[in-house]
Amino acid sequence: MRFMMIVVLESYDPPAEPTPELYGAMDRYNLELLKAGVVLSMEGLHPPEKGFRISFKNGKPIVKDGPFTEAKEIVGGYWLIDVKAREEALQWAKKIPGNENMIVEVRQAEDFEDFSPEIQAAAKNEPGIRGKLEKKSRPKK
Amino acid sequence: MRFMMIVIPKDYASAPADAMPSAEMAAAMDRYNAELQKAGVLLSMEGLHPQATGARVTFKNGKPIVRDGPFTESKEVVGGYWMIQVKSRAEAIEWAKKIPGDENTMVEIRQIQEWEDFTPEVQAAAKNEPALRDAMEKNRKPL
Repeated sequence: MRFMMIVVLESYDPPAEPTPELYGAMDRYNLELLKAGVVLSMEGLHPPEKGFRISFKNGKPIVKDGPFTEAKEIVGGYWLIDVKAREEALQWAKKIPGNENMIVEVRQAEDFEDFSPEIQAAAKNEPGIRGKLEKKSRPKK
Repeated sequence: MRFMMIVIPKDYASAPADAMPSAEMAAAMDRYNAELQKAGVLLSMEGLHPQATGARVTFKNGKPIVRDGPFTESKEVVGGYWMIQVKSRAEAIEWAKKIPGDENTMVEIRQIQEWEDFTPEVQAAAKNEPALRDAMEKNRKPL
């Protein structure tokens, strides 16, 4: 079972940049995930000020630049892990070197077999796309 | 430059545990995904089960507190994401505009932090990171 552990921040107020101490603690945690063979991917995101949001009205896209003052919670980054059970995912989430400003939301990733035959038929390109993505090497800089 | 396009459906905070997209939406997204893949910009993508099946962990004095979903405090709930690799922010905007969205769709686009984006001080603190990324790429298991 794959789970996404999403880091949700309640405030991006200064310091938006985590301290070297927090990075050091996260780095040791990441190493632990890797050694256990459970981590599939992980990323941190730039602050929302540099991002944008898009919504749709009558099929037309509307772009709005960040920051997003309407948002109470902002995604800061994530880990995608592969474990045997939901309980194991929660155990890993509890080991995160978290602080008071941090919420970690643990959500199961949808696998193709989770979908109804009707949706699988509608998303007919999906298995082929995933097959090609897996073969792709690490992203170019 | 890598960007994460985070889907935040407006009604996902109230989605039941067994919520599924419509076949029409799944087909439209599938065509969009194929377009991203053919253009060579797609790195990864995932959809997430509703928040009602998830959990949240918070930390008080370093101690974890686990709560099961759904979470009434959440106004915005992540439904899934695409990770894309493009040449510029403008290109990311163009791809985001092509998403087959409806009135319920909101997508937040955020740039991914690369190793070179960090200060030397942070790079020194996260000293395992480059080796870890190499090992992760090699370990990557098929889905």
